[in-house]
Amino acid sequence: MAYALDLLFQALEMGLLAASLWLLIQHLGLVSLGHAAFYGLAGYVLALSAPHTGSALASALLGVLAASGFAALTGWFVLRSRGLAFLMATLAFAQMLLVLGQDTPYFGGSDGLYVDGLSPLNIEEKALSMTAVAAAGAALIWRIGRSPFGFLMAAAHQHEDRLTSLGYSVFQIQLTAYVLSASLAGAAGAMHALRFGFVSPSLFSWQVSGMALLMVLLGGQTYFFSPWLGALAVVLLHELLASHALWGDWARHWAAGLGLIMIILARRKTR
Amino acid sequence: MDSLSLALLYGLNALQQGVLLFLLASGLTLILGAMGVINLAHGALYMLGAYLGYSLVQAIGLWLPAVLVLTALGLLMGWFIERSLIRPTVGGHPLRQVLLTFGVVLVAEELRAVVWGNDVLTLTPPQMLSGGIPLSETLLLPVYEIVILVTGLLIAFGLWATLHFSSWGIQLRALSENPRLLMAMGINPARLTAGAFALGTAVAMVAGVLAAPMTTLGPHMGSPVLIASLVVVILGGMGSVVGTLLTALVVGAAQTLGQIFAGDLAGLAIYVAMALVLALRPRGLFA
Amino acid sequence: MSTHRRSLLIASSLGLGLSGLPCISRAQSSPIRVGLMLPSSGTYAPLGDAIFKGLSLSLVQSKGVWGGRSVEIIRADDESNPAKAAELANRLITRDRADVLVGSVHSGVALGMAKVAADQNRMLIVPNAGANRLTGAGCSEQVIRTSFSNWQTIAPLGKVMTDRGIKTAVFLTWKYTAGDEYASAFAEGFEANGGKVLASLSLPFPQAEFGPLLTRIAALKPDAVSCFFSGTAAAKFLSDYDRAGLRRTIPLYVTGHVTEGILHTLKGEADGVVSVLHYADGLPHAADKRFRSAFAQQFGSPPDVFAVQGFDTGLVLEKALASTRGDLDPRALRSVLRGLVIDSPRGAWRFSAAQNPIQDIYLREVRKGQNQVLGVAAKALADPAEGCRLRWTP
Repeated sequence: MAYALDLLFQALEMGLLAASLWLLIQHLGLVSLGHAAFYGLAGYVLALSAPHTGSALASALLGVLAASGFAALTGWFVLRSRGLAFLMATLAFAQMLLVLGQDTPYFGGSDGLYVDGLSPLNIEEKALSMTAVAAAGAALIWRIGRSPFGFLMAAAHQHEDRLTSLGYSVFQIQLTAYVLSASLAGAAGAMHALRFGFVSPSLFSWQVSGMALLMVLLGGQTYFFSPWLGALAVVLLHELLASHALWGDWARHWAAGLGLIMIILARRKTR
Repeated sequence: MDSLSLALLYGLNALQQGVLLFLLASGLTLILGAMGVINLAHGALYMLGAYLGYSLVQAIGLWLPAVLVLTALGLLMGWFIERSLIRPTVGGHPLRQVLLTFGVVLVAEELRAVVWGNDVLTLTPPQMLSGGIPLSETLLLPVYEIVILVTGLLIAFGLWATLHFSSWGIQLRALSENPRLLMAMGINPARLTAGAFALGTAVAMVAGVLAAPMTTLGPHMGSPVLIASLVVVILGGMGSVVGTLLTALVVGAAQTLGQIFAGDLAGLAIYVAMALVLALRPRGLFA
Repeated sequence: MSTHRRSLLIASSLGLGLSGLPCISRAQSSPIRVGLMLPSSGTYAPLGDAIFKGLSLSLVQSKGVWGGRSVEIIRADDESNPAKAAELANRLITRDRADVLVGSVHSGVALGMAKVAADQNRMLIVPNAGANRLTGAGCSEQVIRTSFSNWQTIAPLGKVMTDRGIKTAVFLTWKYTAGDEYASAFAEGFEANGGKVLASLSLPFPQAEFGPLLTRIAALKPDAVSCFFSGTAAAKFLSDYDRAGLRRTIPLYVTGHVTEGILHTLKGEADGVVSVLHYADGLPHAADKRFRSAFAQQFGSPPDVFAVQGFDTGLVLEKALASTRGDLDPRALRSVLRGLVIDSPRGAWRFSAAQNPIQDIYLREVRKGQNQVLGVAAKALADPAEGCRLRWTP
């Protein structure tokens, strides 16, 4: 039972990361391969600040703030490009944080950092906070979609020239959305750090960003909670593919099964 | 050792790292430049090349035939991947290409695990080339490093010449600039892209086996290569062989010097440079 | 929702149900479930394998029973990846219901396991990872180590080197926790005896491109070179060092980890390399002779220090559980640890209050593909356990 809850928490957290990506892809058509940067940065800031604040909430907020700040800074660079160049620019910044985390002594090195100084959460507290954060994130995304800003984003995506002629700055709209998306990704990262009590440079890897993209794809683009469906699907899929009961020793190679599914899904022309 | 010999030695280290980096990135620049396809599987192909090369060298016993066989295998695999996997996603949402090539990476890693296991392997350079040239009383320069250098430059020249002087190469360059005109002239872009992908794959795989004696073969060895190649290609301009070579040399030099002197923050410089280039000249320094 | 996605969700929900299925278990009354986390992939895979073999041999010799209970082992591959350690360890406890944890090779992984062990109040036995912190600043009742601390396996080297007239040295290692600990312990031991460390070089873990660093060493011209690497990369280092012509001109004095378990892959490139470690080839102890012949008979190859550590892990669990009559509670186990003397192939050893071995460190030299023992570099050496507040209750 405790294990099933663990899986649920994982889905809630990864779903939030996927949702933050979904926001950018759905409304603005911007595909980022670097969202792990915000996810990991928030986690690290939480781990670094926890011994000083003693409060999970305060450290988590600091983490989200750091992620937003990083987005505001890097957004200025990456939003100058589109498509492929945008993808690689976002990847570059995530990689930069990975190198910082891995090769410099400031952030604990390749072995990562422990989250010390916070009292460990019991099951009920975990359940409550995870659900609360995920729900808040979902509500925010839903609200944005229906707000005037949501219309602006859609317009920026589909009718860039007209919007500019009306006096709006497409760049401002994109940057705002980018920062919002980053703060949601940061919230997911803070959740991760609290859940595991540990952060490491691999949180910045492109594989993490890639997994989030997979969840977006699997969940579909229909509803604002679709990313969570996608996250749940990936988590359960992992359990299915890694089950020794089903596959025996071959379960070790579950990643190949996941990869094959990704290849098959990506080849289909339904989207 | 006097400072001249030392400088020479460091210079050779840097040059060799740069050429190696070029070898790795050149396959990617072809694919990105000609097809606009984001190939996250590039590092995985490099890894497969290293492992396949390892087995071929063990089986055949001689390097040259092994490398030739590997080249042929690479061309075949690249052609096959392009036709069956990549082509359906061209023109679609970039998300699909990212996921497709990510899927290929996952499958490739497990394939490696099943066939070659998870141990770290070492590949020694060919007997003929495993000697060293004495540079001082204490240090020898491995002959193999010089061979890599020369081979890399030869491949660079070969690629450049192909792109600029062969009709296939000229058509390929035209494809990245103006596909419609090319089709209006009756040239089938599919053949060009299949060829580009095949060539890119073959170069990546050969780079894998050539680099193998300098490092070790192990799980996830392709990931840092992928990132480094992407950086070099973006900085150097997609599709430009000369740009990729020059950038690779600069990056290789920065990496070597950083390893020796700066240590910690050296790795960052590359990404800062990349961000700047993207901000100011999104098409790359030499595009 | 499209059909393919619906069937995907159904299929994956099956996975949730299936993961609850019990693993194949023997029909015994309350067997001991051991959650064993070792690397089966990457540069430390051979070490993980050797530890497992040693542990298995010990289990065979005790007829698969500890403290009157049968033993069941559940294995997990940590891939020497600290990021996954806590998650995997947690899964061993919550999903696979492990009563006790054993692992790992990589220090970062072991630290993650230690945290989970403390949180969940399960015993963790560390059969290799040498992070000083595990039985130092981060010590706890829940963590026992049957191997060594990084400090123990390099500190004696300083005096060995200065006794031979070596005054300057360069140190080389990977940039991670273990590497840092070896670098500082070496400097401490060497400089306390009058030596001078010219430079402490490092490269990111687990890279194995030593070229530029070897060039740097040649430029610095130290009297000797010391280093810490492990596994396949260590073999490559020794080979590259030889190929660069340095072996004959600048001698290597290393921690024994560099020459453990990999000499059979080399063709003499390591001959003459001097090292210190808590085990060696050619030890005079009867327990070692018995162990070596049993190991060779069971597995067809000679054992190394990692096999010994795995074997000792089994010995410790067997003896401790015999005293507690099968009780795995960390407090109960600690109460019997103090009096335990382990009759190990490495020689007899006992536990310190920080739950780390107090043991002899041997001086060895590579001769004919073996780490031949030359003598004892430090007798009954205890790790200083800096920052640990555990004491034996009188």
